Amino acid sequence: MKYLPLALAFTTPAHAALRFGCATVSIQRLDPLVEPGRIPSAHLHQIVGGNAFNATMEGDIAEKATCTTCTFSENFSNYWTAVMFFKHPNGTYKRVPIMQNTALPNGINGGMTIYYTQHDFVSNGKEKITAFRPVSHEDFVL
Amino acid sequence: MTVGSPTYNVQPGGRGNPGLRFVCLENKGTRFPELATFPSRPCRGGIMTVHHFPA
Repeated sequence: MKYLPLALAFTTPAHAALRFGCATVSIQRLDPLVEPGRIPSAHLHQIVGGNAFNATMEGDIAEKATCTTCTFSENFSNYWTAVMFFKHPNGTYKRVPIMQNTALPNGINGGMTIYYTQHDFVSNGKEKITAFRPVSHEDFVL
Repeated sequence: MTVGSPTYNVQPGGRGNPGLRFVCLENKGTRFPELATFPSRPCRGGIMTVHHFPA
């Protein structure tokens, strides 16, 4: 009966998901995916992840980095998003502070939470897992 | 992969941008509902954006 727990594990539906926090690396007008090589880019972004982020990124950027602000050190990918500004009635703009995810351990400076799921949290769907595949221009549709 | 577009003109009550959703936080633990457009009222706990890939 030693193997029973293992057998049961294989018969139970498994929903694979990965979640981790990434602190802010930098907030810059750079966007190597939408506007590669353009300094500055048209929009401001918060960038998290590996230290190989640059205005132009070619090849497997995760292989070129040596460290990351994400809590998993097995991969050095980058992720970036728009940042938000508050427009004051007097016409000035102030950047809205970024909060860390309260569901993750303390110590993450701003940043974002990255999720990899096969389909969503309740289904694996029919898609192959493509976690940590580097971004490519084929993925990008404006 | 990307989600959203800086030139997208959000229409209140519209379908929003594919993959891009907003959560109006009552507190730091609020996670739903995911709104298609930017919250139209102040959100006590802040605003969370969710980027779903692929959009």
